[in-house]
Amino acid sequence: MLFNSYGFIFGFLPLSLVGFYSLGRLGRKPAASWLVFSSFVFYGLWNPRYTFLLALSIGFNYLISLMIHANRQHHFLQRTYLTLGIFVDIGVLIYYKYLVDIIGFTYGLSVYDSPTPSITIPLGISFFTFTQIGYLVDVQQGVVADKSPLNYVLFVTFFPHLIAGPILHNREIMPQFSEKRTYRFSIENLTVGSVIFIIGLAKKCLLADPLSAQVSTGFAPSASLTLSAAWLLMFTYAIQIYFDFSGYTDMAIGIARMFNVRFPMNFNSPYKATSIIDFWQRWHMTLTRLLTLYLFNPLAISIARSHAARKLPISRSAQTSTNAFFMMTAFPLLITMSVAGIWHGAGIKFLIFGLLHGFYLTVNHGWRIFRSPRASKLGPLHRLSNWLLTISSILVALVFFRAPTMNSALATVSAMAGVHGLGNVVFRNLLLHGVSSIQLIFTQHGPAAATSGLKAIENAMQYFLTAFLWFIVLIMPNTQQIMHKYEPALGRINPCALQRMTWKPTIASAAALGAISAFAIMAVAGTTPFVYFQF
Amino acid sequence: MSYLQTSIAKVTRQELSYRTYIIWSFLAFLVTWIIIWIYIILFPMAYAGRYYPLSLAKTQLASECKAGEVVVFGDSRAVAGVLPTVMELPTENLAFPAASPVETYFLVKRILRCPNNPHLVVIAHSASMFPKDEYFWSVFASLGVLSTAEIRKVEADAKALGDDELMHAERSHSVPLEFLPTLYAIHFPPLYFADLLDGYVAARWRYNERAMRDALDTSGRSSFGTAPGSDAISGEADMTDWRVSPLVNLYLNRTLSLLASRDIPVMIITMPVNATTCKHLPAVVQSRFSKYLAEIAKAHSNVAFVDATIPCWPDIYYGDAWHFNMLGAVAYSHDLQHVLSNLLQSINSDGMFKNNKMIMAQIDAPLTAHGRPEMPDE
Repeated sequence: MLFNSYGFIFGFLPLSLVGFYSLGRLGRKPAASWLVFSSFVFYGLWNPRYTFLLALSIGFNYLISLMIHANRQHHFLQRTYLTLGIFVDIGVLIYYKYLVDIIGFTYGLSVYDSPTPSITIPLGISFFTFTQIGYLVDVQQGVVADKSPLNYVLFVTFFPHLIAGPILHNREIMPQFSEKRTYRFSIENLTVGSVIFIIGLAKKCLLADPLSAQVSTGFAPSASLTLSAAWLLMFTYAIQIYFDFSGYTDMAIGIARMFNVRFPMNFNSPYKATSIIDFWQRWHMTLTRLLTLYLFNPLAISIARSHAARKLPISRSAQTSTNAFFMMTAFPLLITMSVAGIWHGAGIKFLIFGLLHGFYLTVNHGWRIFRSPRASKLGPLHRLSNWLLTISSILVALVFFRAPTMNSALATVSAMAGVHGLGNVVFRNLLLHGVSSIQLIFTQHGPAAATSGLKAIENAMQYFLTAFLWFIVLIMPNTQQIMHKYEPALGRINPCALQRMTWKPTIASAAALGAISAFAIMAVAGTTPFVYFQF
Repeated sequence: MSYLQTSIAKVTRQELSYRTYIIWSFLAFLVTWIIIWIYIILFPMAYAGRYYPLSLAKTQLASECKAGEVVVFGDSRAVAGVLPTVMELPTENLAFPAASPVETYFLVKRILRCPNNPHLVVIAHSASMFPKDEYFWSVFASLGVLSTAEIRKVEADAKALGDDELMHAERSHSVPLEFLPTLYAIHFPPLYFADLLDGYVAARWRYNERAMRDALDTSGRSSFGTAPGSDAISGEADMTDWRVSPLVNLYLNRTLSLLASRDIPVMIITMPVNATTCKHLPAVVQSRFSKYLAEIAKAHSNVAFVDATIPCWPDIYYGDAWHFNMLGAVAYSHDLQHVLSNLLQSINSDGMFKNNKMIMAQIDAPLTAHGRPEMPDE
């Protein structure tokens, strides 16, 4: 079931809220059980068959967590259970998400000569698998105190995050499910949650969706792009995926808040980043956190330990040697980002996406370590050049994320490098289309004017829309900043400089919310599924 | 004045209780919803896509009951390709963009309500309009071309045939199928909101009015692509197979029987595709489509069909991948004129063709540029 569907907005959500707060009067357990039931229904409405898989995965992981708990004194057994848990989880993930591609690849190499089978990827499998692996690791490290099965099931299945995140950490969510006040109706949380939900819905349906046709056309096999057209396409796609995914996250955060639960931040104006390190601290923050906690840190620590065992220096100053930098920074980064790439999907494209970001991060870290100390203070021009370099690097990597095939990705990157000509699409469309459309209105007669004149206006408007959305992203505060007075999400939120943009329950903001929600709900009829649903 | 401004500013910035805030938000929601709804109902010309003014023009042409000797039905290829103003026979182009034989049935029925029936009906649907009625909801239900009763009738026929194509046709998947006819009838705003955004609220008004005027001035012809030639490939080239859907087949036969009952002869023509598309056209599409049309002609004694296979015309006559430009329309209409004149001479008083067999004729493209009619103002 989609958050941006009438069934969810007018049926499922109100019903589950009413049930939750009605049962909340009877106590914590009935309300929590209702939430678990609602979450399974939510998942099952997409494909009932896979609710069994979800239940099985939860049952298995919870059992493993109990075994790890029970063997606190036996580290070897604990590690064995943990390894078993991770092995099975990853195995299931590989079966559903990667097996078809692996078979397809081996089929291509003539290793396997049967036709590729078709397997439907269970919705959100990457999200609920990684959430549970994180939990098992935490149990093994002794940082999980709550063993309640109900809280665990709720932590995994709570429907606002079940399908596309944010990826939750047990320490921030399970205690909230233990608190009695979570189950008491709060009109403040309902209001604040609704406002955040509507902002997310508007981002998705009013800002992201209108760009999808333009992006699909740009990546169509027949599209032949010039340099300017290719960059314009990637600027459009970058803004589409941002509003789509951050819109989804806002909706998830808003729904959770309606149930008195706070989720962590997942986006913090990522396109304002002036370095790649900064970007990953702002984009899909919960995935970055998960990979840092459970992959990068263990890798880096184990390398540092092996260095220390060999009596090699491991301090920060020691990393200024090329060899140490490569082993202690570059290597774990490349591995982590490769996994981040493959996490999004099977195939060489996603691996390249991850490796490119791994490379960018390595260069960025290297720059910080090896640069001259004089360059520490940045002027406005320097910041602008940093931003441009960061954004262009992100856009190049995004090509591999979005392009339907490797050939299409390479063609787009070649176009971005100017191989297919410079083109004048940007200038022609941004500047001249406005003029030419006016000219067409006054000079052309007959049937052609009705089509070409309007087409010129429509083309020009598409470019202005992309430019306008970039303006919003770069200048305006993000959802968390708008709502910062009401602690919309877990984590540190920088208040926005534009105080007038801060939300307060006034008549003016009620009017704005009412109007925006009317537009957004109308736009739901023509909406598309979230980009991140495929992951 | 400044006192009033200060008071308004004070009121709008005053913090409300959450309960009051929710009530105000809901009221604002309602007001916005109602305003948009009224706008959608009253000003479709301002925002609707180009099919809307064409639907108005065709409805007006049909309701004026000025149908001449020949009336043309079909899809957008026929809309762009048949230019009645260059034809000597009194002809009216009532073809409708995106129409399949399902919608054509209802459009034919409307024309037959007129006191004077046409002498000949031409039906020209592209091969791609037969496998399913793709635009039933998104064009014909949405624009109100089909009434709720007609929509329900098609649904009932589809159900009786066990044909689920309407479920898969282009439509809003957020709204349950069973509510769609009613929601279209009341112009439920979400179903028109995408058009409102695409039309930038009112940016299409001027162009839609012009499109409607042009269609009325040319007895129903309208431009789509206006390029001076196109080597883009149209959708037929992507078809791997060709089949007629049960629903489309039912309605085509129904249309032909209806016309036969009024002693009106029918000519089925296959509109040409551009040369580039021809090169990529799978042979199976050509053969199955032609075979089907031949069977239809055989089954109905009032039917002749022109062009045994999908004809190929040079790219220069096309304004886009699918449609003739004005040069193509003029050239095609001249050729069609000759074929129609010959056909009309071979019709008996009972509306049957004299030889009682299908008449094979070929509408070929002019071979050289010298033979082309003069290029009118596009």
